[in-house]
Amino acid sequence: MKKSTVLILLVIFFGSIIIVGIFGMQAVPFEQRIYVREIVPTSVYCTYKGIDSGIELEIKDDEQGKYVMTTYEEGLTILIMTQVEPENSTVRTLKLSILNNTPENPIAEIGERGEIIFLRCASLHVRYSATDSATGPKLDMWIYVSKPKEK
Amino acid sequence: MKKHIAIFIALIVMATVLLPSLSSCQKKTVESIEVMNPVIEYLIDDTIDYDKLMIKVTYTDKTTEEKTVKQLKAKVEKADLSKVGNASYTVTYGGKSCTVNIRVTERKTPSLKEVNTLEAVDAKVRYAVNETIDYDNIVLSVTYSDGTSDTDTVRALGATVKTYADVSKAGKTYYEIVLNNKTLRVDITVVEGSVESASIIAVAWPRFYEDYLNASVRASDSPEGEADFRLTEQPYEVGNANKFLYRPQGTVIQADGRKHIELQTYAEVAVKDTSEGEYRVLSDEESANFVTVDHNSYKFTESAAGKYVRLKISIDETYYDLSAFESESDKYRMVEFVVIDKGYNVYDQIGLSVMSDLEKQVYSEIWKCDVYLPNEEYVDAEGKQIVVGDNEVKLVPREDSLRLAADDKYLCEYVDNISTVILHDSIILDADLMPSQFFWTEFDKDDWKLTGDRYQETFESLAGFPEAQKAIVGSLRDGYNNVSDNDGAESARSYMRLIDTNYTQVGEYSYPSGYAIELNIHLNMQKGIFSTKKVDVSGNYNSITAPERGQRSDEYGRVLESYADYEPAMTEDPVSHWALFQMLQSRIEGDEMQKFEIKNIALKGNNSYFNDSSESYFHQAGLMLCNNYAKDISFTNVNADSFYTNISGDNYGDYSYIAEGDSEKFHSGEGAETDNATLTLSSTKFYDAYSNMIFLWRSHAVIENSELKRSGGPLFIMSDADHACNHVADKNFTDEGGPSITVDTKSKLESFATGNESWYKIFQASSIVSSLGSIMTPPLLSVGKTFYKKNEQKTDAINVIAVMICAPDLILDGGNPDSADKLLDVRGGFTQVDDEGKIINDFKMHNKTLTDFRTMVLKTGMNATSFAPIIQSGNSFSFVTPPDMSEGAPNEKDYVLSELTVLSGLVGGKMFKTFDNAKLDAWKQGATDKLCLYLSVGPITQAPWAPYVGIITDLYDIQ
Repeated sequence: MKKSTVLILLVIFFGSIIIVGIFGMQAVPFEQRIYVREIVPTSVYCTYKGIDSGIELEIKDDEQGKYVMTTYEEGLTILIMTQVEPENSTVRTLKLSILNNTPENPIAEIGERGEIIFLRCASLHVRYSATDSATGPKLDMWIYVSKPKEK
Repeated sequence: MKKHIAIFIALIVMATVLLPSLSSCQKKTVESIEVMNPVIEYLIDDTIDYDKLMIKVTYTDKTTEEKTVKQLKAKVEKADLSKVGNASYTVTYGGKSCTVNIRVTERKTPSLKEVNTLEAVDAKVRYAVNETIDYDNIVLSVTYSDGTSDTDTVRALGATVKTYADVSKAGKTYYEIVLNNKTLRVDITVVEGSVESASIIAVAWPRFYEDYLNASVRASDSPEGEADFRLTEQPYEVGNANKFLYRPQGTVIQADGRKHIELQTYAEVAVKDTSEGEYRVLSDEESANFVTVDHNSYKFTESAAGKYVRLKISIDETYYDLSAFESESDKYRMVEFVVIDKGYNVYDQIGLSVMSDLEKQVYSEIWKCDVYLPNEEYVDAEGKQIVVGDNEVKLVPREDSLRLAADDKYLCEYVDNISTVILHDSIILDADLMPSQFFWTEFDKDDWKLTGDRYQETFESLAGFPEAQKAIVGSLRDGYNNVSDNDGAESARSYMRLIDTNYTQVGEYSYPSGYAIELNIHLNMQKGIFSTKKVDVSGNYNSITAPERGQRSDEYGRVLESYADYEPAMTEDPVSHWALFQMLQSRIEGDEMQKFEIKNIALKGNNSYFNDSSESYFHQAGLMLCNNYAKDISFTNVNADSFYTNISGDNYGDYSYIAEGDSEKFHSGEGAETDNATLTLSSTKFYDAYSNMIFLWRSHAVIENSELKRSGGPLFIMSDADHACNHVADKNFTDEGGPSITVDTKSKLESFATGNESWYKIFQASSIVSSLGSIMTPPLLSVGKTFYKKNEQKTDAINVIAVMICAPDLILDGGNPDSADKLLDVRGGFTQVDDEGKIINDFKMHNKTLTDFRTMVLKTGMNATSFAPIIQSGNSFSFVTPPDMSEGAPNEKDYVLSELTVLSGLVGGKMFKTFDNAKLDAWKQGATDKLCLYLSVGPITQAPWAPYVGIITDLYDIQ
């Protein structure tokens, strides 16, 4: 092997030690955990029995939180689209719960796609919870449902 | 006379001329008028009483007034009601007009047919006292005997009022309407106050109980996630020290949004003695002796303590229109709980502070009461002179003292008189609601008496970290229990500054520092935001959250971070000594010591599970969860993440010394072998600590059915913390006197480390992790084992579960500098048991194998300057020969003991094996999934009777 080759190899070898020593190696956690900070509703749709496309509902907001309003008809189903921040949160799955269901006469149930299927005419309090921490953020929403106007 | 008459007439003329002018000067300009609540439908030939029309006048100065047409003397252009169709009338006042469009309809000829049924349609059934009933416009539905039917107003149908309701007083009453042969009776309720006539569309039941129902239940087919509590359906708890507030709100939808009103309710009370029993509804008389109900608040008596209660809370429909509710089940809630004797119900952070019975001096600022120290005198409310006892701190309320909505007395009067704080809401901590004494201020920078010196020490300890130096003011004062002059109780005093809301000093006084006065015990630097000698914490599945690191308070810019040790050992060690809770030992009576429990609560700190070592200083500045000096404390069903260290279990010696107030004996370590503290984690989940999950200064920890994952350093540091470190062979120390852990097989313990994490770098432990790998890999390979695990990125890491050490400073200092022999010895043990209590792994720092082997090693004259790990898994022991054995290949007979088998090693740079397959198999048979390495961090000759450090990790089969 040429002397120059050996020299270059030594320079690279010791140089890398110095560089790594100065700048360090980025320590990535063995199990990265970036927590969800906020859950934001982006849109709410409702459908009824026999109607294919969803009707978008306006998300209203006041100091007590967010809510939407609609009227009840058979097959009323609500779908709430949400966004999790930051986008690179490690666990992005959310849990959807109905807070004011009465066991003996439930107001609604949750479908397989996370849609809220109303079983009767009553207003509903739902919650989306982050599943990465017991103290994670929550999004509470009220769905106010009124009786249909008599024809 | 003529003159007098003339003057009189002149005055009259002046008055008639001037006064109108004056009044017209004062008269406001009308901007607009409107008729209030106009009727817009009339029958033909009806009459309108225009004089009684109510007009709202708005003036240009934006004031308004409401008066009748008659009062205003307004002009009216009347409507023509003689023809069917549209008509209108116009009211004019102050140059402004208002026209009301009306409809004139045909007057029905009242039918004389026989009436079969007569009903009121949507008739109002609730009226306020003296409210007018508009009988003419009550809508009736009638069916006639000929089969025809009609729906119209009383007036239109020609019905008449037979009986008028009496609305002059509250209560039940009725009115009667007659149409032809039929009489209709309508029952109504007259109530005091206003009646919400709008329809309630929803009831927002108190969120905290709905949260509990949501958090405490998990579907049987739903796997438990990290966010879930381990134990479900734990009973809700309510205290009887103050009121339980349960305030449902009704939602009314209006044109401009929704309105919430607190609803009137009534409750049915049912009780049972045990959780399994049947509820029995109490009579009114029984209820009165059990609970006082008043405007959605429930105050339970002493006789309710320990009972299981069910409240059926129903909306009082007499006040509201609930026609929007189709189901009766939407109009009431069942709330079930157990009553805790002397439990204090907490709804916010101020209420939580009542548990701080050891920080009365500083919290008096928040509670707004006077505080008197031992032997001080004060005058009580009855004018009596009172002298405060020894070891007593007295709180005395004054006129402006704080009293919360749920309380019957001043908040300070609950301190020392409660057993438990019980949360009924989640709390995000606010530094502005904490005593100002907790924080560094600009005053401290001015070298003000003793605290000035302390600030300077803190500042200097952060040399090289200018960002941290800038952050001192407004941060938690570390070590403020201590004073620089600490030569006895009398001279060791802290000065407390009294600061008003303008952040101006208004006074000062001093108190014995470094002492928990009522416990008469000297404290070290550890501090708690909430510090108690007797109060438990019951969360009801609620949470307490520390604001994120760097998040400053609104008013004073304070942060819940602490940037420096009071006595910096090294600039890389700025460990915060502040915890959310601090529990200190007290005696109940006789030999009975206080036990503590924290349960059913989620807790979040302000440390990130971070590995950027350039910011390590800040990551160490956050809160711990609990600093424990108690002999017996349990964490049950707690879910916590993001603390610096979760629990510091501090135990030096016999706890009876604390109860006797003899802190010297306690801190001496005397009696520690027989009276160690016990810290129990049961069904508890801890995640993402920056440092460790539990730091045990001696103490025992029992871990049951729990999950501890992702700490930046070892999960447990078990420190045998005798700083004198004079453990010599003749002192007969036992491992039971040191720190120890007993863990069951249900618990999951994980803290995977590569050694590059910032915690390892700061505490100079990186090389240990990497060295372990290089030394242990070949020997473990020979038995088909490894302690490495790979993540998705194929990075190798070791699960560093526990490290058993002497005081960490002494490891880094290389021994006790005061001891000529520089002795380093460690007591302690880690035991794993199965469900039946059978021991699976029992790693003790002193055992016969270790003692015998090390003595034998010394006889060979081996120069063990590097690691010489002895390993144990289950009942299998092994020794890894160090690489620098220069005496030739070891004679197997010298090393083989009944329990010990040499695996492999390096001799002269070459691998060798000195064992046979039978011994290999025997080792594998006795091994488990846990491994303990006993290894020295210094020359083996310095501590011939025991190794220095025990490291516990997982052991896996190589796939």
